[in-house]
Amino acid sequence: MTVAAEHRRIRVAGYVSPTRAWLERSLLTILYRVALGLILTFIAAPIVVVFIASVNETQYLRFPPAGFSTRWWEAALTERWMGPTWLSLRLAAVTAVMSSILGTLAALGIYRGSFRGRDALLAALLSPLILPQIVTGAAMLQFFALIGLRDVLGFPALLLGHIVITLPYAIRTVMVSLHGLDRRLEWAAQDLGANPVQTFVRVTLPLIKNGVFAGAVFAFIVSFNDVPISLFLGRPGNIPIPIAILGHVESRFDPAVAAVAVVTIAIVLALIAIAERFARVSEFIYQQER
Amino acid sequence: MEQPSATDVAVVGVTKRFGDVTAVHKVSLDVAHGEFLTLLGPSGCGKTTTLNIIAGFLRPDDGQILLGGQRVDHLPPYRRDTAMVFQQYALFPHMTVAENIAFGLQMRKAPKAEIVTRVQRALEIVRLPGLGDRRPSQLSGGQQQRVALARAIVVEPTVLLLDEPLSNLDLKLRENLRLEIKRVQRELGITAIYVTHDQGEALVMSDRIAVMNQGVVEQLGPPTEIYEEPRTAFVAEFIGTSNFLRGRLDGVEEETANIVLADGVQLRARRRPDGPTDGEVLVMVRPEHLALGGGNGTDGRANELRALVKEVVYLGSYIRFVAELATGDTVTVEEMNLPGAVRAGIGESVTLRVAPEHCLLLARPER
Ligand SMILES: Nc1ncnc2c1ncn2[C@@H]1O[C@H](COP(=O)(O)OP(=O)(O)O)[C@@H](O)[C@H]1O
Ligand SMILES: [Mg+2]
Repeated sequence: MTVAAEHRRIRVAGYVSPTRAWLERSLLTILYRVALGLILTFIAAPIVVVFIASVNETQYLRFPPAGFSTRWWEAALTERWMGPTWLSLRLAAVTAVMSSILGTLAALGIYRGSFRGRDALLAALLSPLILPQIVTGAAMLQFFALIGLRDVLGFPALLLGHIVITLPYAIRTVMVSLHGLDRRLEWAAQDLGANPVQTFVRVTLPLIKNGVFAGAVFAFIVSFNDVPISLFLGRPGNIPIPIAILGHVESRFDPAVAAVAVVTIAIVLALIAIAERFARVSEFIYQQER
Repeated sequence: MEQPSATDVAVVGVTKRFGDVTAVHKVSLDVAHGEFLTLLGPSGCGKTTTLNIIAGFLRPDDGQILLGGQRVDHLPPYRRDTAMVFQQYALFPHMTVAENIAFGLQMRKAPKAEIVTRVQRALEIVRLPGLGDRRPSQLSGGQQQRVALARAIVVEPTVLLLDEPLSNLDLKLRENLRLEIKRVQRELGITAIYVTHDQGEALVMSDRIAVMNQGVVEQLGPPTEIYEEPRTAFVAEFIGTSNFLRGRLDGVEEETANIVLADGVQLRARRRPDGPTDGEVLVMVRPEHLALGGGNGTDGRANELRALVKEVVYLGSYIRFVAELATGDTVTVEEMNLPGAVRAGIGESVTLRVAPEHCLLLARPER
């Protein structure tokens, strides 16, 4: 034990009383909870306020709310607002389908391929994530005008624009799935006699379907919420709901808009709830890459 | 066993390079119908690459593959009548056990009723009846291995390819399953190419073993021949335990040779007709052929070596001595633990005896 005698043990800290240790621990816990509470409040409060505003009697919201009324909801549930909402739903649905199909094919080609310019192609396809969307939107409008396709403005142009900006999400989620897919499963299928198409349908697709599905959900939400692209590519009679809301609140605040906002929020939340039942879409939000 | 007739698989001069690495170099193999051939060698010697070339997952840079006498080089994997058991099983996780096994039959467009009965039978053959509705994730490693085997044999391939199928299992299970795989293969009379780095597995299971080293087949033959007649120092070292004595050739006859060790001791060794004729050589001796204690040699023909005992390891049924020769070479001696057997302690000077026919002359690997 001579070594121990010469060698002074280094301790982490001096003596700490149990009370002090408890205080230190609880102080941290309290700080953490307060911060979390504040963040959640800032996320949730506007939604709550919008909801209260939509059933409030008066034109302007004040606290405490004065009286209950359904008249804003009656105004909201008319063609004036439901038309654009319906358009947005259709647009988002078609965008989601197209984007996930194209995104899956693109992801497969890029992930598996070994052709020249592969990285450049991927960067180009993902670039809408980085470019300012307002610029993309303006550029698209000019492009359509330039090639003499002003007529496509409205649904077709909106669809094309939304596919371009939602494709990155579909590509990314499918690539994450492909990354987690054991190549030998496809080898095994081929070894047992499956041709490339059978291999894709019976093995590859079932194993990456969560990624494909998540991509579709993201595409739907991004399309449904989109402002910058729709701003340029819509046209009278073909205006998605976010643009309709924006145009209306530019001049004044109308509690009917609050009711419309509640409807759109409900649609997106319902979609996510349904999607979560079919595939663990949340995995792609909370842990993109393992 | 009757004489195997038809050749099911022929690998002819196959070479495969990955960039600068030559993974497989001019490998040639013939596998007879119903034969169990093992590719044995250390990790990275090209076993998997060879198997993948036969299955069609990789294209060789040179050479040919024939299945049942037909060239298949140009065919994709799904047009080749092979079936592979993968190292990590590669079972389809989204299908049940029965669906996994049925997959190959479905791809071959077998009638539904036939698929059901054949899947059932395959499950019985691998001794997993009643587990058809489980998912692979609900099975143990050993059970998954059996499912992988069932999935491959159910399509009755021309050749069954197995890539280290037992390497992820623990020892006990491994020893059981290798007998199981062998039983299934024998019962079905299926031709098999088995890849392993485990010499024990290779010796127990194989009809013939191809020992591979750095992309080359060093020796191809039945297990007894591989163990008793290794052609190269690599084969001798890789299969079983070997002692190597360094020496110099001093005259060769038809089947014997005289060798002088570094300390001047003379040794007589067995020489194959194609063995080395002069220069620096190695003499290979198995530990069980070295006997402890000199003196009353029966015929006076035996080689005698002086050695110093360095280590004694008691192993129950036998005792292992590690001894150092005057040349500096260390040898391992194994003595059966019988009553009256010679004993020696650490630090004791002993005489080792070995008959010339158990001393095998080998070329010294250039290095
Ligand atoms: N896809 C590949 N790309 C590059 N090198 C490879 C590839 N596959 C195998 N190799 C190399 O080829 C050699 C043989 O590999 P492999 O056939 O897997 O060996 P084994 O199965 O005997 O362990 C190794 O050196 C390995 O690194
Ligand atoms: Mg391998």
